[in-house]
Amino acid sequence: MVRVPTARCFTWKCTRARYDRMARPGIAALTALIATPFLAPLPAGAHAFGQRYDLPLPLWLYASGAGAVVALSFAVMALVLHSRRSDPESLYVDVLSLAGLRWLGHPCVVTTVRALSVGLFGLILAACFFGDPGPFDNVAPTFVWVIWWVGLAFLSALFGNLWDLLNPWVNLFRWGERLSGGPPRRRPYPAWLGQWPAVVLFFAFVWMELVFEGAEKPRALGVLILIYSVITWLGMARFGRAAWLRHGEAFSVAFGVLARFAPLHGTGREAAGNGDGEADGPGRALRLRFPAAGLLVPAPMPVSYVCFVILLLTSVTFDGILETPFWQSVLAWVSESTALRGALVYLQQAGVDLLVLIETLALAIAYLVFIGGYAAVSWLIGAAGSERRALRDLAGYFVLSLVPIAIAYHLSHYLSYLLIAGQNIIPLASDPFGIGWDLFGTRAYRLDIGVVSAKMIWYVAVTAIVLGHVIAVWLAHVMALRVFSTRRQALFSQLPMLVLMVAYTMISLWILSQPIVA
Amino acid sequence: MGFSRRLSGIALFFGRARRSALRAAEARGLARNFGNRGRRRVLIVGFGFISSWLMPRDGSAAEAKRFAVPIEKGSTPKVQRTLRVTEGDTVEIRFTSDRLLVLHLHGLDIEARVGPGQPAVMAFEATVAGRFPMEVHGQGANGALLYVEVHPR
Repeated sequence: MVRVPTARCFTWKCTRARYDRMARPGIAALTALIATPFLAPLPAGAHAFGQRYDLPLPLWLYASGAGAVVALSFAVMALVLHSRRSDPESLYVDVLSLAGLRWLGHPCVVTTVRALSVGLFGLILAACFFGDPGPFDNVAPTFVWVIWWVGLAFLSALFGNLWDLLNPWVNLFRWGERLSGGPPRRRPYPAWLGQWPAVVLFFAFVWMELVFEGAEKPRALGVLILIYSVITWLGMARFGRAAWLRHGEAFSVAFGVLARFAPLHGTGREAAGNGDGEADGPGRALRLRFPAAGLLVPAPMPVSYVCFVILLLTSVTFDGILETPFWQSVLAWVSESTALRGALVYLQQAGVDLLVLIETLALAIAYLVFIGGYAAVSWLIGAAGSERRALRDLAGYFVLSLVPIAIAYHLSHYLSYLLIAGQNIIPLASDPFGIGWDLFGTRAYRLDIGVVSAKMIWYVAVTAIVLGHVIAVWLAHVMALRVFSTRRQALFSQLPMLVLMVAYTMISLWILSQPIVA
Repeated sequence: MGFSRRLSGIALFFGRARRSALRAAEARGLARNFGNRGRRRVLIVGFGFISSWLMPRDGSAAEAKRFAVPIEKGSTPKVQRTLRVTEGDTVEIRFTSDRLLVLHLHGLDIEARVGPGQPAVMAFEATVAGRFPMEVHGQGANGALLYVEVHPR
C-alpha cells in the first residue's frame, strides 16, 4: 500500500527506512518464502510523527449501526410505499441570482481562481522535479494524495464540483486554444467508446494509489503527472475539450460522480455539455438543489459509466480491506499453501514482486466480484419487478443510487487521515521544496494528533454510514417508481437492491470494526 | 465484557449525551429536581442508571497500567500483540529481548533500545485515544511488533 495516499497510515518518516520493497509490513509471510529476507539497514534518527490509526468501532456501536441500517431500510420502504412519483430535481435555487452572491460568477473571480489553480499545478510539478527527492520534505506527495485526492473528493461530495472550475489541464488548454485563435474543428467522439478511456485511466490510478508503492516519491509522481497531462491534452485536442472531459478525463468523471451527491450544482454551457464553441466561464448558474438529487437520472447511464461507478465503489472498499486482519490471513494463506509455493518461488526468482502481484490480482478480482454482483442484482430487479427490461438499462438506472454508501464509507475511512496527515501541508507550505525556506513561519509546525478525538471519529463514521444507506435506499425507490409502471412492481423490484445495499453497508461497517494492521 | 451486555448498549447510543449531562447535574446536586419534571425526566434518570450499569467499566478512573513484554526472535506472544489502555492512564511497558532491537512507538514518538541483558522501559501518559503501532526499526518485514490501543474514556 502506498504510504502517502492510503488511509489512516501515517508511517511517514519511518518508511524512509523501508524504501526497499522487501521490507514492507504485511509481507512478512511472503518474505518467509525466501531464505534470507533482505532487511534495509536502519538510518539513524528515522522519525515518525503524527501516526495514529483509528480505533476499531466498539461492538455496541457496530451493533447499533447495523441495527439502525436494517430498521431504517424498512422504514424508508414503508414510507415510499405510500408516496407518489416524486421529482426532487425540480427543486432548486439559483445561488448566483441572489443579491450579494452575484460576484461569485464574475469572470474576474473565475479567471483568478483558474489562474491560482494553474499556478499551484506549476508549483507542484516544479517541486516534483526540483524539490527534495524524499516524500516527506517535498510538498508534492502530501498535496496530491492527501489534499487534492482525498480533500477534493470530500469537497466534491459535500459541496459541489469544484474540479470543473479548478482543473488545471482544462484551464491551460483553454488558454492555449485562445492563443491559437479558437478551437479548430474536432472529430466527433465515437459513441461506442463511451466512458471506457476514463475507466482504463482510473483503474491505473487506483492501482497506483492502492498497490504500487512508488507514486509517493516526488520524481515518479512528477513523471506520472506529465504522462497524464499529455494523455489529457491529446484527448482534448482530438475530440474537443468538453467531449474528453465527459468521457476520458478520469478525475472529471470521478469527481463528477461524487458531486452528483452535492447540494451545489453549476450549470452552464460547459456543464451542459454543449461541446465546442462555448464561451468561457464555469456556467452561468449555480444551483442549490436537494442533496443527492443529482444521483437521480432521467435515462439509464451507459454501460461504460456503470463500470466506472462500480470501479469507484470497489476502490473505496478495497483500500479498507487491505488494512484488515482478514487480508493478512489471506496473504498468510497464499504464502503457506503448498499448491502455490512452486509457482510463487518461480515468480519471485523471475523478479516479480509477489505482494504487488497478489494485490493487483485481488483488486481485479474484487472489481469483477462487484461487477458480477451488481449485474446479478440488476437482473433480479427486473425479475422481481416482473417487467421485461434490458439488463443494461436496469443497471444504468440504479447504479448511482449506490454512490451515497460509498461516499459515507469514504468519509468515515479518510476523515482522520485528512485531518491528521493533512496537517503536513502546514509545514510544507512554508518549505515546499525542502530546501530550508520558511515562507510563512510554519516550517517547524508539529502535527497535533489529537485534533479529532477517537470518539468523534466513531460517531461521525457510524452516523455517516447509516445516513448514506438511508439516502441510497430512498434514491433507489424513487428511481424504481419511475422505471416500473405500478407501485407494487416498484416495491418488489427493490427487494434485491435492498439486500445488496444492506450487504454493502455492512461490509463498510465491518471494515471499520476491524483493528487496523497496516 | 459479555456480548449481551455490550449489545444492550444499543439503546445507549441514543442516550449517552443526556446521560453525561445528567451526571454533571448530579454532581451539582440538582438530580432531585429531575423527578419533578414529568415522566420523561424519570425515564431519563432510569435510563442513566441502567446505562451506567451497562457501560463497560474498564478504566473508569485513570490508572497506572504496566505491561511486561518479552520479545523472542523479534516477535511477541500473540496475547500481547495489542495492549489496551484507557485515555489518561499512565502506561509503562517493560521489554526484554533476545536480540538487540530499536523499538519505536509511532504517534507518541518514543524510542527504546532493548537487547539481551538490557531490558528497556517505555513510560508515557496516554493523552490521545487511538491505535498506535510499535515497530522495530530495520525490521519492517515483520510489520508492527504490537499495537497500543488507547481507548477513549
